[in-house]
Amino acid sequence: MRVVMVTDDVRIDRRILAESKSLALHGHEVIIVAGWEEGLPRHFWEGPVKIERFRPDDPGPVAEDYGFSAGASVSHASSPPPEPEVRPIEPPQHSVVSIPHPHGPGRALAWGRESITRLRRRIGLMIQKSRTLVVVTTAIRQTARRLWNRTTAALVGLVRAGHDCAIAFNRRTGTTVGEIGADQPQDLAPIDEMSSAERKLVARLRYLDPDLIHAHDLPLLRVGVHVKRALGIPLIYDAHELYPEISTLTQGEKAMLRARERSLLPDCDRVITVNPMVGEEFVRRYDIPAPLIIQNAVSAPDGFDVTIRHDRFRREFAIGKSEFILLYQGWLATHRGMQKLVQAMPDVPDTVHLVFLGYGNVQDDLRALADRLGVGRRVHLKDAVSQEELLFWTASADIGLIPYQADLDLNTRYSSPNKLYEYIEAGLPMLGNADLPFVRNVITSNHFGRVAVLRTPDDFARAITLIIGEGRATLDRYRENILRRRAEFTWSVEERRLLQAYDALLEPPARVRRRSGTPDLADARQF
Amino acid sequence: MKIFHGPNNIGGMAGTLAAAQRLFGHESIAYCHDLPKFDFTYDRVMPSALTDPRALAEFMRTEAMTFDVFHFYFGESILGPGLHDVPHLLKNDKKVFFYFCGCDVRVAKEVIANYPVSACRTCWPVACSPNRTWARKVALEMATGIFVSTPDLLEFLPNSVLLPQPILVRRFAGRREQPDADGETDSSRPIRVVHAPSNRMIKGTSHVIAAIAALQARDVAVELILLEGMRHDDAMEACIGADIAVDQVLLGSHGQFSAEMMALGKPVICYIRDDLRRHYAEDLPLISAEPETLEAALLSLIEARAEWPAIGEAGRRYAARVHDSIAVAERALEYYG
Repeated sequence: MRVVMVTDDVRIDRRILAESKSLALHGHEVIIVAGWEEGLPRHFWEGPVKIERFRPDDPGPVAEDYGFSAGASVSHASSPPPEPEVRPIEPPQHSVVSIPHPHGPGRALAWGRESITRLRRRIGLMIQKSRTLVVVTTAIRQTARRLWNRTTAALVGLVRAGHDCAIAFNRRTGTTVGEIGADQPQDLAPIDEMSSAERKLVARLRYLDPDLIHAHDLPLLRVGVHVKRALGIPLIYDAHELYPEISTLTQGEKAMLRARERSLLPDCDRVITVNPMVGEEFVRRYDIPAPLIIQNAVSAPDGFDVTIRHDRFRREFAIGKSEFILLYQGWLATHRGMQKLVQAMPDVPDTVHLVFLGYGNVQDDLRALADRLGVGRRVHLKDAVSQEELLFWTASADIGLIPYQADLDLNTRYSSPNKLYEYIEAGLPMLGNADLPFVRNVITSNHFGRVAVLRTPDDFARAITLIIGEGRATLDRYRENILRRRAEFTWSVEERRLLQAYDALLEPPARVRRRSGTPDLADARQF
Repeated sequence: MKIFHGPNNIGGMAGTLAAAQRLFGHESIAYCHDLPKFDFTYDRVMPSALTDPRALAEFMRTEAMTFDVFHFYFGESILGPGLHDVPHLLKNDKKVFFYFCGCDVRVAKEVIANYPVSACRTCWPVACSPNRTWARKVALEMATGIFVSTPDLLEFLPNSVLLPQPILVRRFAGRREQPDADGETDSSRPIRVVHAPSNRMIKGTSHVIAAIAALQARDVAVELILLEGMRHDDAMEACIGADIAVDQVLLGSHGQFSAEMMALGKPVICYIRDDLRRHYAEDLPLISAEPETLEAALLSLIEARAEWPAIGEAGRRYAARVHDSIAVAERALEYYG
C-alpha cells in the first residue's frame, strides 16, 4: 500500500523518519512530502523512504479536475464489452475488437442519458451567460462564509479557554457564542477557502494517489482531510504536540487552531500522539476516543553498543577523566532553560562541564553569556551531528539534562522530548525538571536519575551540585537501571503499535518475495 | 477512411503507423506535437493549446471533423490531457481509439505492491502522467477501443488489445549483412553492449552500468555504449556497431528498443515478467534478466558468441512478423472496422 506522510518540516523530525522507515520495511511504499528550502534537494531517498520537498511555487505535476461527465453522452458504452482476450502476439487473424453496437438494447437508456446531458448543457449555457453575476455572488458568499468561520472559531476558542464571550452577535436568532460552540462544530473549510499553497499541496497529494494519508501536526491536517475526502482513503493524524498551545501563538490564533482541530478530528480514522498525558488532554478537550500513543523512542544505530563507555566529548574538549560532563542535546532555543543553565555554572563545582550539542540560533548568546560569567572554559558548544552518530556522543556524557520550562505553555509541560529517549537508549543518567510531569514520571518511577524543580539558576545550581555530590557510584546505579529497562523504551516497541494501527486501517502489505534464479539464456538458445 | 494519429508521437509510433496505413489506401495523417529531441518523423504539426489556441480551435472546428477515426497516444487527445473533445468526437460518429504506452496509465502503487521487480519501485520522482486516472476512466467508459503497447498494461485496462510497437523493419534491411558498422571483424576487441534509455530510472540504467562495471572488474572485455538524448536516427546508427543490446531490466515487458534491436539482428537482453510471457509468441527471442541476474545473463551471452547469429536471425524474423509497421497497421485497421 502507498502511504503518503505530509509534514511542513524542512528538517524532518526523527519521529517521522522512524515511522516511515518502519512502514517501508514492513512492505508499504512510503512517500514523505515535506517542507522546502532553497538549496535542498527536491526529491531524494532516505533509506527505503521516498522524500519530496513541496514547493508551492513549483509543485510539479498535479492531479487536476478535468470534470466533464464521462459516459453521459456516449451510447457506445451502453452494453458490456466481452471479457478480454489473451493471446500471444501474432500476425492479424481477423480478430474482432469489442465495440458495443450503438443501436443495441441499451438504446432507450442511452436516449435518457443524452436527454439529461442536453438539459445539463442548456443549464450550463445559461450559467455561462450570467457569468459575471455568478462570479460576484460567489465572491460575496465566500467572503461572508470565511468571515463567519473565522469569527466563530476565534470566539468559540476563547469561550473554551474560559473567557466570558457570551455576546449575542446574531441579531436574528440572538444566539450566543457559547451555544454555537457547543452544538455546531464547524465543517471543513471548502477547498476554495484554503490558501493557494494548501490547494496546490492537495492537488499534489492527489497526484501521488495514496492509499492512506498520514498528516503530521495540525497545520497540515486540513490538507489531509481534503485528500482523504477526495480519494476516500483513511487519514491518520499524528499530533506531535498540543499544537494550539504553542507559546508563540496569539490568543486568537490559539482559539482558531483549537476550533480547527476540533472540527477536523471527526475525519481522522486514527489519532496518534506522543504520550499518555497529551492523549488524555485530547480526550478531555475534544471528547474523542483515546489516541494511540506512539512515543518518540529511538533505536540504536548499527555499531552502537550501550555497554561500552564512549569518550568523545573528553577528547574533543580536553575534559579530564575525573570531571563531570552535563549534556543538553537537541534544538537550542531561548525558551528551553539553557540560559539559566549557563547562569548556574558559576555556582556548581569546578569539575562540572556543560556541553550543548545541537542546532539553533542561540549558540552565540550562550557563548557570550558563559564568557561574561567566567565559565567559558567549562561551557562547550558542538554543532548537531547525524542521527547515526548521535548516540555515540550522547553516551560520552555523564548526565543528560532536560531543563524545559513548564511555565512556557501546556505543550511544553506535557512534553516527552526526543532527548529523553535518546538518553535512555544511550544509557545516560538524567537530571530533569520536576515541573514536567511525563519526564518526572519516567525518571522517578524507573530510577533513571534525579528530578528537581528547575525554575531559576539557583535551582539548577542546587540540583546539579546534588546529583554530582552523589558521586559516580550513584550515577552508575542510575545507568544500571536504565540498561535494565531500556528495552521498554526502544523504537521497536512503538513500531509494533504503529504497524498494528496501520494493519487495522489497511490491508497488510503483500510480502513480495524476491525471486532468485538464473538468467533464461535458454530461451534464446533454442534457436 | 481518414485516420488521425497523435497528438503525441511516442517512439515515433504515430508517424510510423500513419505511414503504414497509407499503404493500405487510407488517408492516415500523424498530427503531432513537435519533439525535436528525438526527431521522430510525423506528417503535420499539431497546433498547441498554449501557444496557438486559435489555430487549435480552428483545427478542431474544421479539419478534425473530417476524420473518421482518431487514434490517440499517451492518454491525450486533440485538446490535451483533459480529453474534453472525446465526447464531441463520439457524438459526431467518430471512432476514438486510445493507445496507452506505459506511464500514461500504469497504476504505480499496484505495480509496487504486486511485483518484486518493477520500474515504479525505483522511479522517483514519480513519472506517472497527471491525467492517468482520468484518461483511464474516459477510455474505459467512452472509447471505441483501447490499445496497449505492452502486456503489463492489460491489467489496468480490461478489454484492451495488445497492439505491438510498430517499427519500420525495412529501414534496418540494409544493415543486415554487416555484423559491425565499421567493418570490424576483430573478435579480440571488447564486446559492445548498447543501452539507450529514454529514462534511466524506468529502464534500470544504473543496474546496466553496475553489471558492466562488475564484468569489467572480472576482466571481461566488455564496454557499454550508452545512448541518451540523441536523435532517433543517430541512435539507431550508433547501435549498428554494437554486439549486444540491453533494453530494460525493470518493466517486465519489452519496449520499442527491443523490437528495433531484434530487427537489427542483435541479441537482446530485456526483463520479461513470468506472468506476461503468455501474451507473447512462444518464439520471442529475448533473454530475460532482472537486476540481480543481469551480470550473469550478460556473461552467459558474451561467452556464447557462437550463438549470436542464430539469436539475431530469430530476432529479425520475430520483428518482421510481429512489429513490422505494415503488419501492425493492418491489425489496427481491422480493429477500426
